[in-house]
Amino acid sequence: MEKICRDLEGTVQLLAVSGTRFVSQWDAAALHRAFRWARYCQELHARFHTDTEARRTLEGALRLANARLGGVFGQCRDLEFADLARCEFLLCSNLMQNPALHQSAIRLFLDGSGPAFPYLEELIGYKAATGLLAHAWESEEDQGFHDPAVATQGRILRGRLDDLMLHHDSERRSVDLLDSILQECKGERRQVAYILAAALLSGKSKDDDGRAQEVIADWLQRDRDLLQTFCRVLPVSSITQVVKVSTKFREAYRDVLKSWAHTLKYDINEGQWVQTSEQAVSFGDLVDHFRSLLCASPSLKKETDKVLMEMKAADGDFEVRGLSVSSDVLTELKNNAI
Amino acid sequence: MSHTGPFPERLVEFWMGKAVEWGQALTPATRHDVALHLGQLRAFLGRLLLELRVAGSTQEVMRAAPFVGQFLGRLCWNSFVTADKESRGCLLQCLHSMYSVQPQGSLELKANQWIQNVLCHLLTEEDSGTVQTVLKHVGWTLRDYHSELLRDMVALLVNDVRKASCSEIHTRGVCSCDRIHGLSVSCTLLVTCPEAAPLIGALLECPSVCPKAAPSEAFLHAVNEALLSQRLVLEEQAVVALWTRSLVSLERATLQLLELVLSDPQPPMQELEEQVTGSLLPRASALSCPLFLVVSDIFRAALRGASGSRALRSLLQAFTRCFLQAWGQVEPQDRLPLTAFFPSTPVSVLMALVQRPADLPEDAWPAHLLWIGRCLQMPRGHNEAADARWRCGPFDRWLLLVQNGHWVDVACQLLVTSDPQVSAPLVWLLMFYHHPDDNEHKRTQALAVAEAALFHLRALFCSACPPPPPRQQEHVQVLGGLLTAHSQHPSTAGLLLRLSVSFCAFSSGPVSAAVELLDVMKVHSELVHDAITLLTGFECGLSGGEANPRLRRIQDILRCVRVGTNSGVPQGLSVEAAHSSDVSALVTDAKQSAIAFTTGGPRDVSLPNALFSSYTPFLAGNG
Repeated sequence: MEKICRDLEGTVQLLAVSGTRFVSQWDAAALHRAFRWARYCQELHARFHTDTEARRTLEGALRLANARLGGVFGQCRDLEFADLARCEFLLCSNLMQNPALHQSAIRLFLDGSGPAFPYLEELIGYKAATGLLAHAWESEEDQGFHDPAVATQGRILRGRLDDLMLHHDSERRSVDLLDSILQECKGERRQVAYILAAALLSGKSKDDDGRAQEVIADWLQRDRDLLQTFCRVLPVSSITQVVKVSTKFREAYRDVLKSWAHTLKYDINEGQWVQTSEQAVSFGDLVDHFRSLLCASPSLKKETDKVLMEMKAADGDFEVRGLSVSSDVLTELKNNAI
Repeated sequence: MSHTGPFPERLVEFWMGKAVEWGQALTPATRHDVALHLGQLRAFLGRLLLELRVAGSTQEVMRAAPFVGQFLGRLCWNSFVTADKESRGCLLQCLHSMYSVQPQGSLELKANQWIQNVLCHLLTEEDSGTVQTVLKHVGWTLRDYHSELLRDMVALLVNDVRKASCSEIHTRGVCSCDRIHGLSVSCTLLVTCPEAAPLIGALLECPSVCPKAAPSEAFLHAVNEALLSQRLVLEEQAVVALWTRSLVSLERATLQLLELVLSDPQPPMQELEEQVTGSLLPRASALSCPLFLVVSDIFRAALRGASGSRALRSLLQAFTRCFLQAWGQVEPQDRLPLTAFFPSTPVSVLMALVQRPADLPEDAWPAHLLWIGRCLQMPRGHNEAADARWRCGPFDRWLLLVQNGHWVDVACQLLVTSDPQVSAPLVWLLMFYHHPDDNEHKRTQALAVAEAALFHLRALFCSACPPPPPRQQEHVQVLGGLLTAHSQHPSTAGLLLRLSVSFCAFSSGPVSAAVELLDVMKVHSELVHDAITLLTGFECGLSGGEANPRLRRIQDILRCVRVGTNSGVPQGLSVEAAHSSDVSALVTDAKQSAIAFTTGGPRDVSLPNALFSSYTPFLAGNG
């Protein structure tokens, strides 16, 4: 077992290196050796995944190896026991996305009987198939949140977070994961918001205790700007769904709606409420947000009514148009009740 | 040398033209054109790959056929082409052949660089930075992600298609026909992608209220080919929908089964039934009566041309057995009565024939067979509608017996065990089975031969007073002589063999007699093979698969005899040889029959919509 643990540490290092520029030094023989190691790890998984005791030992070895590596080769997720089952694919994936890869490796990938060919062939096939089917949505305007890829990515992220919930330091690891993603997708906050919403909405299994959801909602509140983007770019109906599944998000959302209301100014000449911040929404959109909450469920209706009444009271309980946003929102909701 | 290398200039021009035309513009028109040319493209890419493999170097290839680089490059950038598994495999292998391990000169260096670029494009294009970041941090590979995304897209589209079909029926609301049709064209390129199977099924099952929503012909063809080559697995209902929509596909499926069965002279009944079940035809037929009628009619047409072919008769029997089993498994509220499937047969006769012998007490067998025989016999003066319940001629009556051949096996068993005085109806049934279309004279002759054989068989297998060895030898010699004398007359030889094997298997006479009798067969190894097939049929049909010690014993003896003949494979002279030796001719016959009714032909059945409604009167009027 000791030797196996050493081998595992070697593989952890190998996979980490496979994504770096050092790969340029790997010749054909080195690549073949790398694939043999990857296959060996797959066999280890096949042999030990039902053997609880051995599995625990190997998991320990992996943890140690990951810690020793300590992110020396850049940011990437720690290798876990379940990953051993698809070591070859992980290796292929790293190599194929690595621009430093030696030219001679190309032939290895293209070799129909070689170890990397199935990955290459299947990846190209799946990509082409998804590209082909994406045409079915083409006629629709900007799909945004409704792009099927968003739901898939959200579910994958959620799956990972659910896995992390089983670890002792689940919260720190989850926050690290979400931080890293946000960090690297700075210019894509809208996209990140979509994926987070999809992650929030994707847990449906019976034994789902909703912990991962609360972690996401907590994390969202740390970044006020992202939270606003989240509430602004998502379809109103989807936000209401998120409200239904996460109590923590419900509170944060209420605050966002209040702050949006404060950004609106009444234009006497135009006779209507005007949006003053790009980070907020128009009066009409604000009404839609409240209307969606009122229609969601009896308890949400009660709660939302209460919030609106409180807002109105705080504004001075005016009934005259143009003095209080919340008062006008209430009037608008009453006049155009569904 | 021409600049198109080993390929005709016009062919290269055509394909280059297509590659340029298709380009990267992934429009519905391109998609349609790629789907239409897919088969030819695969063939061309296959040829190209062969040429590249035998070429000395990339430099040589580029000089002899400079179009290759551009051609492959353009196709690799077209996801309609790379979506097809076979084309994709060919393209990648072409690139592999063109990649120089040790590039010589700038041309090969450039080619290598180009291949690397193509690969890079294929692998990472269209994946946004966000996707790659998320995947990296959750530890998913791009392959797994795209496979998951494909599954998700398929699930969403399946929902859409189902909803579209519902709304069309109920409200005829927004027309989504173009979208449904477009999806069917897309799926033409995904027929070998298992993840797309649910969508393919939903498209097939989507009722086409509007003609614009009908799946494309190329799609139906591609799905059927993939299904028949077992590269696509569909739900039963989808298969039924496919064959209901496309009669040509159903015919292809039926003819493929015929070809498969006829190419293996006589597999044991059990194996045959596995092949038949694997074709999905019995199950689809049980779910859809029109499909059953078409399939039956193709078999009927094939048998008309070769009524003596045992392989065909066994196939028909196996098909009917599997069909009845499948029909029995359909929920009663979802199935039509059996009479709908056999519209020209009186219900009493039908029920008597489809009854499984194992489901009746053995002492009821003689009366049951007597009744069947009487029903099947052509009544004298039938033109006076002596039996108005039949709506077909003698061929169809015979066909019905062939379909339910288990009762012929029962007749064999009873003939051996019952009193010779009451055996005439049983002999008639066996005669009818083996000589369906002979005239009176021929039948009388054959009857005389059968009676002679029966005389010797009864004497040889008499358990009350077994003949002494010299007499036993005499009987065996006479029987052997009869078999040899009639080996050129398949029907008679088949009847003689059946009688002999029945006595070996069912009599309580000495096994030594069976050993002697089977031993004389070894001069004709084919007879031994036929006998083994008959025996497995007996075992399968009569004992319901239960081990019968005597049957087993006889089978063992036969196997020993077969080893003695030094040939396990039938060849040359077989009792069926005259009919079944030319398998391809048989299949051609059947194909022609099939084509005849798909093109209107002598039966004047127009396609495709009129087909099912016109089948019943056609069958009824064909007596």
